[in-house]
Amino acid sequence: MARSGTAVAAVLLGALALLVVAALAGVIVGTRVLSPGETLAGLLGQDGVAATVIWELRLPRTLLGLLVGSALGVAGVLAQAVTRNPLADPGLLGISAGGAVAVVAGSAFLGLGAGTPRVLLALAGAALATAAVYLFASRSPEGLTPVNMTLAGMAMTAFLGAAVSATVLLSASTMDQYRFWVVGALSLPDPAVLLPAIPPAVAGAILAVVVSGSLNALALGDDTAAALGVAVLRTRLLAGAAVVLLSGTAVALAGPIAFVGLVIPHIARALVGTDVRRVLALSAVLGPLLLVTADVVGRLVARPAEVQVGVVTALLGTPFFIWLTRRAKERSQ
Amino acid sequence: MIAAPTRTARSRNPVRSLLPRPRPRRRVVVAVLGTLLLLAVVSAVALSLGDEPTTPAALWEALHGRGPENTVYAVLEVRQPRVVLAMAVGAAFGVAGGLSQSVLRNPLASPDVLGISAGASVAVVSVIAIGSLGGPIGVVPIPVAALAGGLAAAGLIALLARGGGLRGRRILLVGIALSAALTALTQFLLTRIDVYDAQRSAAWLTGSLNARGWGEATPVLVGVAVLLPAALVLAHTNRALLFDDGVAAGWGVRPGRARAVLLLIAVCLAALATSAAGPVAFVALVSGQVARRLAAVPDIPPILAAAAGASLVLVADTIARTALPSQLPVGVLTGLVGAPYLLYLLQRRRSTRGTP
Amino acid sequence: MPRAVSASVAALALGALLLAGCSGTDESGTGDNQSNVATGQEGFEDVRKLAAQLGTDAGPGEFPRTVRNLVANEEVGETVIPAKPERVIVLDTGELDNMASLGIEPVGIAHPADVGMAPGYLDVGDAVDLGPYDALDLEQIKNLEPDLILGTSLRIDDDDLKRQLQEIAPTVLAPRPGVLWKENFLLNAAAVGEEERAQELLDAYEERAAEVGATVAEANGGEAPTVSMLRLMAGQIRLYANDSFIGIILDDAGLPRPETEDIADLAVEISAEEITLAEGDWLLWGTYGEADSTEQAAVVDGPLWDQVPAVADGGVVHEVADETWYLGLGVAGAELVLDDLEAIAADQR
Repeated sequence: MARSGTAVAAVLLGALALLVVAALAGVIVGTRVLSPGETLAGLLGQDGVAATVIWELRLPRTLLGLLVGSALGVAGVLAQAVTRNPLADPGLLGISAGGAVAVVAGSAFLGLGAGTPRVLLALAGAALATAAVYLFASRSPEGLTPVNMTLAGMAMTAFLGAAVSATVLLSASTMDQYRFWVVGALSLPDPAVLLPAIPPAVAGAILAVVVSGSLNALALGDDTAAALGVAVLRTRLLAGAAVVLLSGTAVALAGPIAFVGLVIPHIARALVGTDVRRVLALSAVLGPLLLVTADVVGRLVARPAEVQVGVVTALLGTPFFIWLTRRAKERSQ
Repeated sequence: MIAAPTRTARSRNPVRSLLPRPRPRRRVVVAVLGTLLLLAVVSAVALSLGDEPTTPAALWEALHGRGPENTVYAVLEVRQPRVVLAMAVGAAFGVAGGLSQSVLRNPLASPDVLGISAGASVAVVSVIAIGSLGGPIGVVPIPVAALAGGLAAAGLIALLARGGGLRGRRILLVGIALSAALTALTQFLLTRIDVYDAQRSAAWLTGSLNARGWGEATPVLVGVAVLLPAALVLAHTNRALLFDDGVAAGWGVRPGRARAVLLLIAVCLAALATSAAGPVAFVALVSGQVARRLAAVPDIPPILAAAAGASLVLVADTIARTALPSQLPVGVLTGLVGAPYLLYLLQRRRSTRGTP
Repeated sequence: MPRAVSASVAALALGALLLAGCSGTDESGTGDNQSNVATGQEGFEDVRKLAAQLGTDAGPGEFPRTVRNLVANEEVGETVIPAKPERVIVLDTGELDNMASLGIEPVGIAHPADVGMAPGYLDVGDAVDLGPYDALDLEQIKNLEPDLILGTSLRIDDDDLKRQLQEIAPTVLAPRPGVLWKENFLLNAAAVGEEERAQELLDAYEERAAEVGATVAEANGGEAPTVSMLRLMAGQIRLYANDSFIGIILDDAGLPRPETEDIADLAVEISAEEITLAEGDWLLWGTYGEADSTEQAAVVDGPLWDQVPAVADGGVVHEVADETWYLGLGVAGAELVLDDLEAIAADQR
């Protein structure tokens, strides 16, 4: 599967080109129908309403999609590499659910609203859920098998969901928020959340780059990695921290969006091979490509309402997940 | 990649698994009697609690239609249907869980984990959403929609997991993935309809017996009355399923068909129960396992699973309706108990491997 | 691998089907930019015809009397009320408002699951909280020994439940809240034998509405302004149209509506990008529930707000109380809406 540097560069450039097209669609297509003439005038700033819609409503939202998509794509690569689990995904492992539940509980019990508290809550919830799922899955007799991790993540999500249902069903305002939180949606970014979300996202990205080399060694097994001079535990912890930072940020900004972190790394590996550094770079481009495309699709199918991007990615991701489980089975036979 | 522990389980001790173990009848009988006794006590308590508590003497009188009009009304018209419904729903879920866990030989393979309930939920919320968006309401009754949704989900899981056999782990993962997609869809529908209806759907989605009566109980009661005996008749088949296909064939049982019939029964029961009360979380999973542990036999006696499920739902519903400040959906309580139980089962996988 | 491929195709097809199915539930939409919002079980034309059949033929204050109402979904039947009711149970906010307006204190109150027993403008007295109307405890209702139960068929949408309530006490159900608020008021009044008082109150309201409308026109320089009614809800932005509680009040006041909102429907749903469709000279907006959980920040504090005609032209832009303007479903709520309108007009002078 090893590819030459030029081939990888070509793939990366192609993906970037597609991303530019998707981002362009993100600013041109929306729930308000603009004629080509209006769109052009809006892009050039000549039509007041169209210009506001394009530059001040759709552009920030598209940028948000780029940020969240990159975070999810990279988090997925790290999660799969560190657990050697092809089914790992912040959404499926209950990490996103942890973040989301913490945000909802924070607003219901402590009255914490948008802004820095939301980001901190999401990060704390994601960290706790990660630790708990890891603990439960690793204590199970077969150890950290993909199935055990997925099941533990599912059980964790169910438990958190039940605990919060009690709150939510007794309070309509939380109910409203929760209904939108649990699906995962891009909307106009709230500046109060966007700014505090940037430091953890950047920190997660830096950590990802730092550990990517060691993760390559980890793929060969703990013993081999140790023999190669890689500090296994430290690599695991750092990569885990990066997953928490990135998926927590994504949750704070857009709610728990599943399947992006699952699907993207597999596509990236199919295109550029198994080198974690290459996969990371490509996933950082493909993640936003998928998310922005799903968002555009979601704006079109139910106008003037929108289908939340989390629903679109779940519906696109499920067939892929099922295909993956089938492929994994066939290979093991 | 994904290991296939069922294979190792089958080959673990081939000689021992070829010998049919004698079923410890006595323990099963004791367990069944004990659970039924518990059920009787809990029903008496549930019949006594309500807006105004009833004394045992007054309860006895009221059950015979004597005493103050309001007490008779409360006991016979309000509490009794709800108690019966709780038991019917619990029994249906319990049998469904026990059967699917036995047949799929996996403690986690119950209708609530596999997405049968999620399929029923999507169908029901769609019906509510169509009504709420100005379409014809009541064209498809909610129980029928739930039944169709549950069966469709089961068919889809079987189709997608095809090739891996019904016992593999693939079916679990496929079920969970399907649940995720169906839940996403349900949540989308919830965001599309009025907030009042959303609240109603949310209560339905967690599983609730609020404001339910004989109308909802009847289909479940009929289902249990028909399908439970069918499951009991197939019980010896059910036992044979624990052993290798060869043994089952030696007993004159065609394993594929028998399994399919048992699973169909399980799906129908789960969908019927869902139609009446919503997907009461984890009842099927927990009752099947509780029954297995009580009986201490490798297969799950359907009657015990039924009694365990009935007790579980009745206890949870009575607490939800009387002990808490506001009537909570019963599914919230069973979810709080069931999800940790699932985590616990994950920890103990090895000791139960190879048996349901 | 072909099996895997076929499975994926099957799953994808399912996904597409489901997605198509759920966008299909929006079929009541009129296409392009507008989709009509949930209006309930029946078309509005029918519902008005239906409401016209309800009521009583009894003389003023005469009991026992027979009241025609909905005894099953879309089935008009008769309920006999033996004597003037004294222990009334109301099953929704509209009925509560109606009883309060007639000076009757209900003994029990049911309400939507997500709000308190009653809106802030109504006093509940010693009434018992019956909880949400979709999870009624019949035992509790029976123990209150009511002699009349009032509600709407839309809220008590199960025919079995309608029958059970009739068995406990005479039950009078109107078709639906909102658009029929005046008809419902008269029906509820007929059930308690206060039809004359109710008619007086309605006449007084209508007279005052016309006056307030004139005041508003005067404040606007002599010509009645078009009024846009914007409501922000979680995940939904609506422009309320003619067949809503507020639509009826504006009509009574003789205040015209902009073209988009001048339709025989509850409301038009729009997106945040389409907020400039609120074209009225006056723009009155309210938020349901917590501002945080709605799109208020993205709309009212958003970049497009300045381009909304009323804002851009320096017209009247005013936040109104959701509790009365959109949730208020009776004559007392309507009077409060008129108070607000009058105050807004006074501000303009």
